[in-house]
Amino acid sequence: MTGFFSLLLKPFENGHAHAGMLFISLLTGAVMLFLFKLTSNQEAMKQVKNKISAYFLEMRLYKDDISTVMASQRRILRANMQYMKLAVIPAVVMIVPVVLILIQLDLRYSHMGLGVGSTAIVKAHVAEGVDLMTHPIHLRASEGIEKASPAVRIPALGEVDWKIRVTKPGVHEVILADGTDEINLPIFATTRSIPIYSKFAKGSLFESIFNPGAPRLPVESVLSSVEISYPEMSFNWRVIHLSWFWSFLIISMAFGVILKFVFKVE
Amino acid sequence: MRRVLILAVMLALVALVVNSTGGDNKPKLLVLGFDGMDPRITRSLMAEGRLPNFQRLAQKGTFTELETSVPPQSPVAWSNFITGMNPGGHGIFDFIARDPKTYLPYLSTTVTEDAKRKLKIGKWLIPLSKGKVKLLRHGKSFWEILEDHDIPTVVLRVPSNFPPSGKTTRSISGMGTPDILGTYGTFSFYTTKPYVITEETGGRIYIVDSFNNKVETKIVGPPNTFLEGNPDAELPLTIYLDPDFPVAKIVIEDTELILNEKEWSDWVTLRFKMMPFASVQGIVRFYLKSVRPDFELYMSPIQIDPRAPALPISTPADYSKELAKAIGPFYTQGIAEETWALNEGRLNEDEFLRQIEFVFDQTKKMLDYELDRFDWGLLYCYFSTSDPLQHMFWRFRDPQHPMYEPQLAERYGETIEYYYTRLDSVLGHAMDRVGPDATVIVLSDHGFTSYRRNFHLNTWLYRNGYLALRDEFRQESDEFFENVDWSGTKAYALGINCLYINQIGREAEGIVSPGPEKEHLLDELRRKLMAVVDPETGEHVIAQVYKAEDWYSGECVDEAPDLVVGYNAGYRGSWETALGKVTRTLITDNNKAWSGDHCMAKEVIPGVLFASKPIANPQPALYDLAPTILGEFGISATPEMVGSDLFDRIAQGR
Repeated sequence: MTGFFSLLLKPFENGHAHAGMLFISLLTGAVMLFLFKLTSNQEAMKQVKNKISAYFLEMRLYKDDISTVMASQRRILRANMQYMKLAVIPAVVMIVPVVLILIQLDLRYSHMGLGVGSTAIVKAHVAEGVDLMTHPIHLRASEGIEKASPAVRIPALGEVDWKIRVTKPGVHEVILADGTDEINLPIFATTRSIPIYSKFAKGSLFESIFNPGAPRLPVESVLSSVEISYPEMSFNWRVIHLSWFWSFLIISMAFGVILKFVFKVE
Repeated sequence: MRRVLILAVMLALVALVVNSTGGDNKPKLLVLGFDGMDPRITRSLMAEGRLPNFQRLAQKGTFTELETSVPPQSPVAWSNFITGMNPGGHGIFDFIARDPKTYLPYLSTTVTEDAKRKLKIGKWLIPLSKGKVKLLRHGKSFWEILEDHDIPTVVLRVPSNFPPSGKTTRSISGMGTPDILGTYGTFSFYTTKPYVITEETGGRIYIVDSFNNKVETKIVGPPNTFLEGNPDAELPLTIYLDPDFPVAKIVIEDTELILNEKEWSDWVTLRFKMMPFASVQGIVRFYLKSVRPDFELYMSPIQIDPRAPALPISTPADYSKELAKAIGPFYTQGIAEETWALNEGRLNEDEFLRQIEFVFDQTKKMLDYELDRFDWGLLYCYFSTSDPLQHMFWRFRDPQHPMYEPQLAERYGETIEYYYTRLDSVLGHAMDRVGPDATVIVLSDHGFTSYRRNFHLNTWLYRNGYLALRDEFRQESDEFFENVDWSGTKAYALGINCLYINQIGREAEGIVSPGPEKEHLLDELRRKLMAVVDPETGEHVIAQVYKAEDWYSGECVDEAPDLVVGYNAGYRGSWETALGKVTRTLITDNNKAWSGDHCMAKEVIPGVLFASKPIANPQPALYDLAPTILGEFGISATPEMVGSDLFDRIAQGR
């Protein structure tokens, strides 16, 4: 899935993240609309919507007759419930691809790569029962980054932190050594819109779904997780700054509303 | 008809081209303000060939001394510069002013008013009207007049301009801008050392415990005016120390950073929640001074975040955001150099020098950002660093100073000169960028000299029978005249140079009648003060005493101090005097790192003036600069201005 999205967004990798976001939102709007049309009972939906329009007309015509207005409102409510019921199946069908898309967008657009000269924290957690003072963890940095502090060991939290500094752009590595194993983890010092893995854990179904493509920590490692503190990314749409999530939600819905007239979807 | 049309199109194109290139004939004026640049040091360095760019400018036009203000304090002096008036016109007479009805001081340049009406819902106070921040400087600034004539103007960090005046001028406020607590800069110092004092000038000390290499404390933010009783907003601060290495991890809510011992952090954003969906944002830098044996963490005063300013610090309002986007977050507090931290020993000299380098760099970046698009109009930029540096490092160049230490002098004795050469580089770079046709002016608001001895003016008034104490047995008074008996007081001092008569009808408990009695008293005080001699040195303490009526004119004269005391080189009004204290001693050694000063007689510490053109007036004063700047754009000085255009426009063909 990560490979598929990387291929899909390849043309936007080196450009502005906004272009990729607009493209994926447009595509999502179109695909979701198509799925909605495919999985919903369009005829029934059309009838329900017509009924709602009719009840509104009824309310306007008999606005002086309170009992009729109340009855119309009750019918509108009931018709709305019917519409929602008809939308349940398409929504259930759509939720799966939407979640997968959200996971992929989160990988690409929730964090920025590190700039040259900037620093980040590498935070490693050890498995319960491992004593950090007797079981030291070491960090080495590949070319392009340097270790900017010794380890800060916090035995009470089972945590050890380092500060690293970027000296060259690119995708670099930190190597964590626990005495027996060495684990290489990527550090992204790039402006490209590529998946930026900020958390690494041991393999599990949850990790495979929600952190796809990220290198896994070996099962036998004393490390239970490693996090890298990348700066958060937000989209500046001139009038407003939005996170990737709200940007995607608003733009894809806007495209959906526009395209529904093209695809004639109820 | 067709020809006319073609001609019109061509003319329009020409106009468009001229406009888009900025117009070669349009005046371009660069003004650099170097706070506290002293003519004696400048001359000496120029003679040694260490200021080649100042030399270049002097050879092209002018280098002379510039008469400063009465008194020569930065907010007063820069207000003279801004308005072309003396303090009688712009109303800034000292860093602090006094309310004659309460005898209490207030900051002279700005007043902040809370919302007048509030709705109380439970513990919450919901404001029904807006609070106000008001600039107390009177008179129109030269950039507002330029705005009226559609001249593009940029004014970076000029003092006495908070909140910034003007509309279209791109400006960032300077000295006078508070930190987020509303003070002129309050640092925080967290330590495991058991200090006795937890409140000191310019900062707060927090004594903390380190338990299992973990320190838990808080960051105290601004008072929360949305809550009853206005309690201080707070943020939790946790510090984890490595058991062996000199390094720590600092955690403030979601923000985490790692600092090595002796390392400054980048800017850290703090968000103080005031009420649901409302917070105030500030930025700080941390300095991990020591991990062991005692933990010591310094936190700078909390700056108003230029990316989300809680108070107006720029015009247009979005300009601070634009600047922060271009150069990164920056110090917004008026006096950004952390002099109090050095004065109180929380930072040492090297640490202080590193900190002022941040401020110097950010100002250079601001200037560069504006130089990139400077086509025509006015670009003004203020560099503050030379002032605090001379305040704090003068002791290393004056062997007679009580704080002089030969070893330290060996190490830091050339620091002030070094920064003059840095200013020279800034000037050279800016001159090259603006080109040979631009007019360049460089000025300082005053010079500098040694501040060896404190003179306690209220003590002198007490000992000479002009000020009475309620409890005579104590022979002193705490700040704000706590023990002063106003019914027996004829005169009192507040601020560094200001002396007031306790006048009937003006002061709440005045006893001196305006008219002959007051005049006689003023003359007597003036005569006696100028005769004061320091028994230890045999020198006259006071060089000049200025009577308000002789030196001030304009709409604010009524608010002026009655006398302004101009000290001799080596002497200054004490910090205690400034806050209305009476001490048991009259003249004491200055044992603070704050060892150089300029709050003396104006004749003792003139500023500098450089210009790329010769000037017509052989004795220029600060208030001449505003008319000169206006004259550069063909605009006449306003009737309120007391200064005049320094350039001979007829001889120069404009």
